[in-house]
Amino acid sequence: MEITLSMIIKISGAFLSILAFSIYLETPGKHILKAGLVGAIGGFVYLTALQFQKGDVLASFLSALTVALISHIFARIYKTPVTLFLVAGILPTVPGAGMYRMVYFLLLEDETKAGYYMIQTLEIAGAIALAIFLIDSIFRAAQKGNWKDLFLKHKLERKSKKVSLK
Amino acid sequence: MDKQLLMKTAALAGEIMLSSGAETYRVENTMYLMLHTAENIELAEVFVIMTGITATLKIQNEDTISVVKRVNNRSTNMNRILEVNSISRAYCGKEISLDEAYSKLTKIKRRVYSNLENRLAVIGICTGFAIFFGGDIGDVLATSAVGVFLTLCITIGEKLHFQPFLQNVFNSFGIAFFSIFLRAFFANINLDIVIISSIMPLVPGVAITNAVRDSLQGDYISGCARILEAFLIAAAIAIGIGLGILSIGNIVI
Repeated sequence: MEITLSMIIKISGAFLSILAFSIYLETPGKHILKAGLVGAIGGFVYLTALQFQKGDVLASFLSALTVALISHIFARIYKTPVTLFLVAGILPTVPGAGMYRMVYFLLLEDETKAGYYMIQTLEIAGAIALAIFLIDSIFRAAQKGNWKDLFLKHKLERKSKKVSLK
Repeated sequence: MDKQLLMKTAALAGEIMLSSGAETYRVENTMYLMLHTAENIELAEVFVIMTGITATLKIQNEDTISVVKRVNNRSTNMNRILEVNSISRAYCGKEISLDEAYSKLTKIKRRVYSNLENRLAVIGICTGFAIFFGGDIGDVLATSAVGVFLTLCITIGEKLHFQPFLQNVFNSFGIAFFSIFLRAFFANINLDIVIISSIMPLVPGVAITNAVRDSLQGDYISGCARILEAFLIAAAIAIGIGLGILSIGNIVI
């Protein structure tokens, strides 16, 4: 993998747009730079995945997965709702391009390509949804699950077994 | 403790969060925790869907208090969600009293940024995405110009009190129309990049994200409603772009 100048320019474009988007969503000033950073990382993963010849859908999935993970970590660190970073960071992967191309080819009466882009749009939306779903449920399990109880119980049981063996 | 005021405070907090685009479960959770600061509770339940709030509180040997609130206007406003979150945390942690919490909730600012900053942000989103999608300097400048035109469309729509659906159609129509208009004068603009970057402020990213998070919590009604919202926004953008291309495209392309 090589990081070229054009890639750096593109990522700074993602940073700028996500920063602007978080202003558009009325995010308070102290959080907009972090939101921009999340967006830039999402853009970086997306571009890198495309560089490795992965398809649009898989690139969107990986990007959304990274963004969701970082959003959850940032939300824990800065004690804010996850949505703050998630909504802004997810934007570069939202299939606006597919939507436009679908309409464009419909108007050109090219049904095959219009259908292709419609399915691609739905696939990307689904991939984003799955990525958020996955990370959310993992963090929920980590937070709400009784890991300590499970662990301690296990230990206690082992101890009691040892005692009984003696 | 004043039970009526407690209910009023919880309902206000819920209303602000729901109208600012918070997830349904977050609204329910916040109101539930606030109501449960009362003593001798027999019953305290909150039921929230995307378009309204119902809550009821029964204290032992007292009358039941119930609230139904309909939330009509929804937009995304992260600042208001954050503020309510911190106020409810402070109240539930017994750092501030109920009266303080209520007066703080009524004083939350509607907007953090001025109208001008908001419009500049829209232009910034368009321009940034033109760079991200790999446009050259000409494309980026053209996208900024389309962004300025988009803010004009948004302002006109706000003045005329358009419904959200019509507003989206109008905005994307303006984008397609003006992009193709620019293309007529500057032949080497990449029309794909300009239009795709310019519709990014309109795409339903917020709706998709919230739909997933609501469904995950088991709030299927709100989840479905938000998915429908996302589809409607997408359809509006598609119709607008299509109309824009039809209106002027034959002359230029």
